[in-house]
Amino acid sequence: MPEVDIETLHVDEQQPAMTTRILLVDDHPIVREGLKTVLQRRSGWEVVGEASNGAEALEKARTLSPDVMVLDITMPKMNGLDVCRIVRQKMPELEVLIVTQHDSQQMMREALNAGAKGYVVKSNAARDLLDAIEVVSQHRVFSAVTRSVRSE
Amino acid sequence: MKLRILLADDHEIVRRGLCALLQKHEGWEVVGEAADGRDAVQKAKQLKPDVVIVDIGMPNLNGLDATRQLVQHDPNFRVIVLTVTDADQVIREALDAGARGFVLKSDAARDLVSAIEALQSKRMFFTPRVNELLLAGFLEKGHAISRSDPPTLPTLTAREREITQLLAEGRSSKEAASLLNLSTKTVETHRSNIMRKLNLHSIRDLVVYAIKNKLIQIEMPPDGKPVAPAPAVAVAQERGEPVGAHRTDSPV
Repeated sequence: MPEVDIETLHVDEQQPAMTTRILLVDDHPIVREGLKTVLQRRSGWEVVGEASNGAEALEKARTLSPDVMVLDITMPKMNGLDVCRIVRQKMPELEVLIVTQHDSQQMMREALNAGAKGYVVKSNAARDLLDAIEVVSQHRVFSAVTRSVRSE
Repeated sequence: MKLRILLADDHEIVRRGLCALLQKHEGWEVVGEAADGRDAVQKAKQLKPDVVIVDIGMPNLNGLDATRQLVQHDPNFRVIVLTVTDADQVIREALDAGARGFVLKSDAARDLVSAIEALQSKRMFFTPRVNELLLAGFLEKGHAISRSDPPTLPTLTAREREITQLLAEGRSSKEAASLLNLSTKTVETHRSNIMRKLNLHSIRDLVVYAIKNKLIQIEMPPDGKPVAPAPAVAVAQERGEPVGAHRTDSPV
């Protein structure tokens, strides 16, 4: 019988490799493609699905059970804020990170009030996305300082 | 020999998406990226790409004016305009500016490759919506209408349009001068000329003019109440302008 390293086995059982499962929601495929290229940098994260509108986002969240939903605000059928409110009510374990064009403190407040855990402006997404997902996946709040936050 | 492409969009995340899409094509190469219209014009002159892809709603210099400047500099520049709207006026302006391709951002993953292939074969590419307009003879009618309208943008020189956009975005004459490598005095002279030509009396009037003529964009949240840029929106509302109808591009 081969020799088995009991210590190593024990550690593996105690710390299984955790994957953060991510659902990308944006009505523009090219933006989702860009987000994916950023997320590929991080091992242990997996994009488990994509959606192009709010209704599809809710359906995929239900069937795929992701840990984090990266969510645009301005979308057809159902906007991101409404999606956020429903997620908060029906799937409280799912964290929502808003990634939007709106560089506005007012919009950020609305998103956080709707139940989002984080808010990233699209113009800064390439810089902030990894940190933001890291933070919200730990159920903490992320909001980067944006142009309008600085000026308001 | 590879087809050389320059990408201009103020969102890095969109540029990454476009790069990922284009890199799948053997024989195409993204030789440069630009984050605003001015950067795009400079890099295009420097890199001499075969195709330039420009977003319309960009800071400092919008994509339509960037296209105008490029085509004016060298009529052989082949420009594809990327936009989130296929509103008639935007289509007309893109054609007037000299774009040879017009692709909706929402359809970019599907249409951009076809658009580049068309330009590669010395053809033009437009979304089905543009083709519909062309078939209906709408463009001719539109031009006829616009000729009877009060003179707007064409009364300004390219430099004056640039300065109008920068001032309407909230930059001071000094900041605009620094961006354009001009003296503050020169910018102020341009500013006076702009105000006189357009019969405007304040920077508020200038902001309204810039919104109406799509030199600057306004972001619209889902509830339809504009959130930024705040000064421009406030002025437009105060003047009873239908802000939503005047934006250049809606948020992606």
